Amino acid sequence: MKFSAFHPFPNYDVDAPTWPNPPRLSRVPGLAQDGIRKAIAFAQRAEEVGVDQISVAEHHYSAKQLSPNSVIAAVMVAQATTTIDIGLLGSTLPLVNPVRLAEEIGMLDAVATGRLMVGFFRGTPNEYLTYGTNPWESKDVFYEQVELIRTIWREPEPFAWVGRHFDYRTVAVWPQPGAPIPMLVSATSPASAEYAGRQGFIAGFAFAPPPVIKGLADVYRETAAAAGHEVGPDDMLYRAFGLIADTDEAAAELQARTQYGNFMKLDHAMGGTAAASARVIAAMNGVPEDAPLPEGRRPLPDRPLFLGGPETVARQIADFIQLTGVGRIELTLSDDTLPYPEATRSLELYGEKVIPLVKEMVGASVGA
Amino acid sequence: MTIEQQTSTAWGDRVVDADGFSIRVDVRGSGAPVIALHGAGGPHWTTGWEGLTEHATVYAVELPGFGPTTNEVTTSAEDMGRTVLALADALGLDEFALLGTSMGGVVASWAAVHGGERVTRLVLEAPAAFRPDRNPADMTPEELGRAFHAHPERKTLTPPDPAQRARTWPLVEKLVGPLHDAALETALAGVMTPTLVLCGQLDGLFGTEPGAAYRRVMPSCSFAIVYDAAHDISGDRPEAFAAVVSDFLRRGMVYAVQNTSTLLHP
Repeated sequence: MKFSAFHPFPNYDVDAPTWPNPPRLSRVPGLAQDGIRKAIAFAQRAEEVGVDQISVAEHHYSAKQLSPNSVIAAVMVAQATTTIDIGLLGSTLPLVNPVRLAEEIGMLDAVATGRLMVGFFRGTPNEYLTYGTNPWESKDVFYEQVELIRTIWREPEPFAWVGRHFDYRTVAVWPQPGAPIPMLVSATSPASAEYAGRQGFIAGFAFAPPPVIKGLADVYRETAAAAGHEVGPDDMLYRAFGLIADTDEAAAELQARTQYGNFMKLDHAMGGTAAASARVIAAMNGVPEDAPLPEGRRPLPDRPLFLGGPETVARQIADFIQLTGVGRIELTLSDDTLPYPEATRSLELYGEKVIPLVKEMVGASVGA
Repeated sequence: MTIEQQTSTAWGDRVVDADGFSIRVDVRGSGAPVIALHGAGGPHWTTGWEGLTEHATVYAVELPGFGPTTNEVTTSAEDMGRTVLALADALGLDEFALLGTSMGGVVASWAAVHGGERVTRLVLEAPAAFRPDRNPADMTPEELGRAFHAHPERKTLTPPDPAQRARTWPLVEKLVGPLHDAALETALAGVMTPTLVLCGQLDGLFGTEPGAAYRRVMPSCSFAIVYDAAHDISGDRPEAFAAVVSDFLRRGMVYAVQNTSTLLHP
C-alpha cells in the first residue's frame, strides 16, 4: 500500500468567478507567490508526516490550480523535499508537444531520480478550450503520444517519427531518465481500464464511488492478466477528496462551512463555458459534433468520499481498499475553498494517524 | 518469410538482360528513377509503393530467382547487388535512387556500397540487415500475421504459395545473410549516400533494431519509426510512407527541415 496526497497548487482567498478566471485577479501583488509558497510548504509537511507521495497535475487558467505546467510544479516540490515520491499526475497529453514534455520530464527526473511516477491523461473537458485542442481526435492523439514518449525513452539513436498526428524528423531527447519511470494512465472507464491493463501501465482511478472502482479494477486486472502483465494492488491508484479533522463533528462542520469537495459547486464553476465543456465530454466519448446532447446536469457528490475524524476516515479507506484491491490511495486534501491551516491539519492527521490506522486495519490482506 | 505474395508468373512490362539474367521489371509513374527491390515474398506493389509513382518513375524489379526460373547462381546479397547495378546499366540509368524492402533492403544496401555516386538516395523499408534473433518459424500464424500487418483491412492479402516458397527459400537465406553482417557494417560506414531507413513501430519480425543500427553505422542516415505500422510499412501506412519517402527522394537529408506552413489567415 502507498498513500499520497494530491496538491492542486491553489491560490487562497481569491473569490474567482467562473472558469476561465480573469487574469486581472492574478495581478494582486504577492498572490501567486503566496499560493506557490504554501504549495511547497504543504509538500514539505507531507514528507515530514510520513505521506509516501505528493502529486501535482496540469490545469489551466484557474485560481484553483497554479500548475499549468505540472512539470515545473513537480520540480519545485522535488527541489524542496528529499525523500517523498513525486507524482506527476498528470500531464494532459493532447494539449502539449510530447517531445517537449519528454524533455521536461527528463529534467525533472534528474532532480528526482527514483522518486517519480508520471501519469498521462486526456484531460478534463474545459482544458480543451485552453489551446483550442480538438477533443474528437483526442483519443487517437493520446495513444500516439504515449507511444512516442515510450519510444523516446527506449530508442538508442536519433529517429524520425512518422505518426498519424505527429511528424517529427529529428527526435533525440536529453536528458534521459536515470531509471525507468513508472507510468500511469487514467482508467476511469471500462475502455481506458482495458487500455491500461493491455499496456501494463499503472491504472489511475478517480472520484467515482467504490463499487464503480471495483468494477474498473476487475476489468484492469483481467485485461492485464490476459496480456501477460503481472499487476498487483500497487499498480492501481485511486484519487478522491479527503477532509480529516480532529473529530467527525469538526470535519462535518468544516465541510458544511466551506463546501470543500462539493462537485456540484465545482461543476457550476464552469459558468458560460458549461455548454462547451459538455460538448467536449461528448466529443471525448466519440459523440459526433452534430448529435444532440442530453439535457440537465448529472448528479454529483456534494462532499468528500473520505470525511471525518482520523478513525472514521481510516475505516472508510480500509473498507475501500478491501473492496477494490486498489493499493494506492491519493487524497486531495486542499483547494481554494479550504483555509490553508485546516488543509494542513487535514494533511497532518492523514500522515500521522490515518495512514498507520489503515495499515493496521488492512494488514496483510492486501499486498504490502 | 511473408504471408503476402503475388503470383509472379505475370510480373513486369519489360524484360531486361543483365548480368546473365533475363530480369522482369514493372515500370510505373514519372519522374526521377527509383529502382525498387522486393522482400522475400516476391515482387508486389504495395499501396505505398504506388503512391511513390506520383513523383517518381519506379522500376519494380523481380529479382532473378523469384519468377518462374530458379536462380542457383547468386550466392549473396552483395552478389545480387552487383546484378542490380548491371540492371541499371541495361536500363540506361546513370543515376537512380534505390528502394529495398526487408530482404530487398539488404540487396539495396550492397548495391549502394558498390554503386558509389550513381545511387542518389537509399531508402530501406524494414530492412533485414542487423535484425534481432527472432525466427518466424517459432511464431504462430496469428503472431506472424500481426508481425507483418497492423492493418490487414487496408490490403488484399494473398496466401503464400508453398511450392514457390520452398523453391525460393534457399535463395532468400543467401540474400538476407547473417543476423549481423560485419562486412556490411564496415562497408556501409563508407557510404555517403543520403539514406532513409523506415521501421514499423509494430514490426513483430525485426522491431526497430535495424533502423537504429543503420543510423549508428552510416554517416548520412535518417532512421524513421512509422507509427501504427507493422513489417509491411507501405501497406499499413501507405499515405505516410509515400509522403515521407517522396519528400526524402526530393530533398535528401534536408527533408529534416520541415516547411509545412502554420499560417492560418494572412
